[in-house]
Amino acid sequence: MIHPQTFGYFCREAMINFKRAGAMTYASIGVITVTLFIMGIFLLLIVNLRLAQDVLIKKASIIVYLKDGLPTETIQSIQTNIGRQVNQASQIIYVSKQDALEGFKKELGQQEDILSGVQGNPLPAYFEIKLTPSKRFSWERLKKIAVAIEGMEGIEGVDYGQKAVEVIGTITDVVRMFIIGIGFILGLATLIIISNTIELALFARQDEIEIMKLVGATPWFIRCPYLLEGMIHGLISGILSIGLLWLIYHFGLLKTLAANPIFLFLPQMEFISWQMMSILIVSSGFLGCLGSLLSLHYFLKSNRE
Amino acid sequence: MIQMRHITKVYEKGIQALNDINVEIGRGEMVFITGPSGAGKTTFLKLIYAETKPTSGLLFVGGKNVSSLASRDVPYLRRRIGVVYQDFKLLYQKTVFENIAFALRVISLPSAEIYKRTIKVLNIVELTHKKDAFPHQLSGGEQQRVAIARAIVNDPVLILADEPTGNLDAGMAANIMNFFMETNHQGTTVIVATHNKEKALKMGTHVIHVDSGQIVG
Repeated sequence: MIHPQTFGYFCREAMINFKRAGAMTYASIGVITVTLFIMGIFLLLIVNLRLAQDVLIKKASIIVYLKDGLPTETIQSIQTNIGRQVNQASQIIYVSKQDALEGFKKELGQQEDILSGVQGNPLPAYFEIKLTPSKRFSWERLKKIAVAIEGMEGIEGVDYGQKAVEVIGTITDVVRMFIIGIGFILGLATLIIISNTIELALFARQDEIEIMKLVGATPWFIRCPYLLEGMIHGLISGILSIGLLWLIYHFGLLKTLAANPIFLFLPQMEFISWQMMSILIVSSGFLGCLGSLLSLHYFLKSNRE
Repeated sequence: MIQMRHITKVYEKGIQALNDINVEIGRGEMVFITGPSGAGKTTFLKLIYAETKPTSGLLFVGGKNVSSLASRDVPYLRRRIGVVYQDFKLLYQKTVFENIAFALRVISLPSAEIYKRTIKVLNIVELTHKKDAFPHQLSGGEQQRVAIARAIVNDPVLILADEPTGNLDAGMAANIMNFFMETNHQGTTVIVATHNKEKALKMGTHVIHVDSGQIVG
């Protein structure tokens, strides 16, 4: 347990280092902030891609097209079989060939004439399944249901918005891979920048550290102020980068989207969650500590041969 | 206090600093290590405060085997030893008071205790009136007294001084030597390394003369 007086000493020393490094401190915080900001943009992207995918899945309905000329009993048995695949809350609506045509005509409105050249009724009868998905409903589950229904007898085809969801899914996967890669590189960059800044602080106080060792300060006592300094670097950068991201999100992105009607089809957007923000800040603080520890490791290496 | 048994120290690239040293220094002794530059005096002291390890041989300080001391135990050994250098090794951006208190602060003593002890040693080295001055505002002799105050503030059982008067004129050197003698009279073991053999002999105490890494008398 650290004595409050000792902790006060560590904080004071860390602040002294912080001030002494001056321009170097600001430069390092600036660069790390930009680094974390870039990371934040990708996180924002992935959050919203996931959100879009979620919205699509939650709204999902399955359209089951039937082959022409099926006897009523077959249609009924298909409905029963579909009912077994989905949960009880889901609605299964039968739309006959005739109803489908009527519906289509209604949609066309005044342009109904287009159909005048068409012989008979080209539209198939279909079931519309309105799913009431539970919270944990996933894309995989939807796909499984659709595939099971498609395998039934008398089914022409199944449509469940697979294209849109699959495209978003692929993008999400690519972005996720990218985040892992770029996160590694940016993390390493942060580590090196902090480690260099701390090393300069260590060089500036070389004499002091030597005397500390000689009068019997433990290595941890010597390290603590520098670890704290590295951590403060990381934390400040983390907070600044999130602030910057929030500003750009609210006053840049959302304003632009609202002003352009082409983006109206986009679902609701979301900022990164509190948890994600905390993780970003805490991990940058941790990186700061680690960077410090690295330079301390080389600096304090005992020269006792 | 100190026992050296067949101590040999060879630095990197085969530079031999000490060769088969056997020394016994008793508690409360005042000892001078003399010899020309490069004779091994500094290495002799460095071995004692565990700044360097012997290549071979056994070294005991206050009953502790320092030759095989773990790194984590080194700080605790040093808290019982006060070291004084030729170049003082003071922190120039700290005041006299802070320089001395520093040695207590880094071993996490309570503030009140730090104040009490620092004032006490300032008194001993007669620098109370200069406690708020910065080292560059002091004479060489005064700076060395600050360094001595820092070395004794922790009540060490052993004081090591490496050419403590090397940078001082004769008057100040005598003054500093008197401080060491007085500290020794209080019961502290004092080891002073100096190249000035005559002066050491005049002090009439235990003198160990080293040359080329060996004891020659």
